[in-house]
Amino acid sequence: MTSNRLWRLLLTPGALWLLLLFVAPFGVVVAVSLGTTDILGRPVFGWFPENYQQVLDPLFVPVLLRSAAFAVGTTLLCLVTGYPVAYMIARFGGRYRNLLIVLIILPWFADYLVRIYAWFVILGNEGVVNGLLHAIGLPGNPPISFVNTPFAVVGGLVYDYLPFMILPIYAALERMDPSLIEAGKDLYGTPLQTFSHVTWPATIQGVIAGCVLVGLPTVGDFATAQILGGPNTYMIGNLINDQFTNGGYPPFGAALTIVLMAMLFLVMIFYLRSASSPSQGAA
Amino acid sequence: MASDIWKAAFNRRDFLRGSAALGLGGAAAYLAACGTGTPTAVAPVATPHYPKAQIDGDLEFFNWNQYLDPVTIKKFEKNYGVKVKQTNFDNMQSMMAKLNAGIPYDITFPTMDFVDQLVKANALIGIDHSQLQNWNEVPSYFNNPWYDPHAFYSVPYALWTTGLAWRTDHVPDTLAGSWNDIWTLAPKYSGKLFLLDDFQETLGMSLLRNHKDVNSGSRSDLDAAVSEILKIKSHVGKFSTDDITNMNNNSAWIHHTWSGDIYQVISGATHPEIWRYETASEGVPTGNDTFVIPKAAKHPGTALKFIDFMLAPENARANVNYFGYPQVTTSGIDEYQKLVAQLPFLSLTLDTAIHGLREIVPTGSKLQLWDSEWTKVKAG
Repeated sequence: MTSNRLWRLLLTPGALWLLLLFVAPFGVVVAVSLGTTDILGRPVFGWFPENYQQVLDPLFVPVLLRSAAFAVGTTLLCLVTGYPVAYMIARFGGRYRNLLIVLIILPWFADYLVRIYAWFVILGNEGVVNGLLHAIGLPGNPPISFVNTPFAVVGGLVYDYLPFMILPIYAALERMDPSLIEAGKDLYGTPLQTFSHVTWPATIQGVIAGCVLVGLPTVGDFATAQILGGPNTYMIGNLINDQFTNGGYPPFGAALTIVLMAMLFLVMIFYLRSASSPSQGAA
Repeated sequence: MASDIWKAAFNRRDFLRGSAALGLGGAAAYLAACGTGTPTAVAPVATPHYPKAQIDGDLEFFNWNQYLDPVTIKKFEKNYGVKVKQTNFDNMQSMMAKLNAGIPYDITFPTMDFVDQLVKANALIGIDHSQLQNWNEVPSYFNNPWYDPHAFYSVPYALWTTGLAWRTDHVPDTLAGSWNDIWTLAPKYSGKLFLLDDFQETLGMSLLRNHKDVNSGSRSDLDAAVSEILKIKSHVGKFSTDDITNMNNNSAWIHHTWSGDIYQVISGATHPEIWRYETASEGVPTGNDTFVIPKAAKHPGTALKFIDFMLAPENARANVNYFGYPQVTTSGIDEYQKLVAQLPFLSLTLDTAIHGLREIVPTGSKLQLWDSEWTKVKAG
């Protein structure tokens, strides 16, 4: 057995896994997107490209723009809050580094929906925050509506996806040689100059990876907007979800899914190209 | 703690957990359904296969959450020495996805319009009324309901109306018993008025206010209904079917809701007297759901026994006391009248149910029309 054949053999389980659980279902989604439904709502395969025509309806433009805006806002907030956290852990975490990283991932052991509902318990009309405001004599009646707003949705998304930003930045910072920062200081760089000329360029790949890991899933998220959102937070994920589970038309939902995946795929290609370009990076 | 959150957060019409299920089970079931060849509607068979009402195994039970008295279920288990294995669904679409995937549930609870579809698609096991000792408890209209000729395949379960609930402590206004109350109150109680996240109910309500057919297939009727909703959309707190929770936690002061759900809010409230419910003079959407035995059932005998057990007067009464909907049996309706004697606004007679407006889930090209109109409401 040549080593080449051995490698191919080792690839088989992974390839089978992808084939069964990604490629095949994806093929089914494509087939559904071109079909119609019978009286029980079951997909009937056929050739109905007009399902895609419907995607171009200007009606959906605000939904797409809103999803993109929420995703960009969430990504920026994650970056602004996540970078300092990653920096502190990587630079000053000492022997507690691994423990701190575990603590950051810890909430992920709880179910996604439970975590979003926790925000409802905190921010709701009769929630913890309104209770505190009431206790210190701030306007308690009517309570302040934190939930059912776009802010609640973006806040929930930031909470959900923050670890995806922290981890790659932390990894990049940890890889960076700390003596580079000392060198920057030795050359009379201010802390800001040292950061912008040394640390930031050295970690830019981690930042981009974090932005992709946060940005792409938030575009398609629907549960956060559904629980914490209001009438003006309808995202593309909610639109797709409603086609399958709330009385909508599944072939249209499938067509939307394909189009959304194609758009995210383009973003992904852009990322991969930028990640492989050697011009970035300090060292 | 977590389970308390779940209990508080979900009710029978809630579709949120459906969304969670969509991610995994729902999608899997849906995709599984794709693989079963070309599904086409088949006319109902003239002589359905009738199982005997005798225990033939544990019962695979598929229902809304908290929609049948758990104590009565325990009693059934004890009396017949079987287990009732419960699974919940969150809306009709997710229930249908599981049935379409051929999962062998022995008993489930579709609403009338979905029974109509299931009967036409020959997806149910026939029910021989002579096997049911308590069939005489079922009101005569339901021996031949519109959705299931001669009641070959279904036994009626619960009745409801759709209306408007409000709490008089925050909303002291006098309401007019009209769907127009929503438009009158919305600006004044901005953010505190919630509409159902259900295209049949919310588009239907706006159609009725415009004096149109609640099941209209006309694009201009629907366009007009949508533009009326968009006028007040900025004042709507949320489109949600999580109505019990929204009312319980003081998020909603006015809620487009179902009669049984407001009953559950009232029965659990510290100040039940603040709540009111009205139905609208332009039209009251009314419906009922049913017990059915899906084709894939492995224990239809036990299912039949269970249906008979639930029709028995003492069990129907206990169940009505638990879930607050009139169960469609002579005793069940009688028990409901006693239950709402102090809440005249919740009174619901069999006559209302029979002559009420039925919302029929759209199919085919009409579904696409309704879906795109509803998206205008949600997306705009």
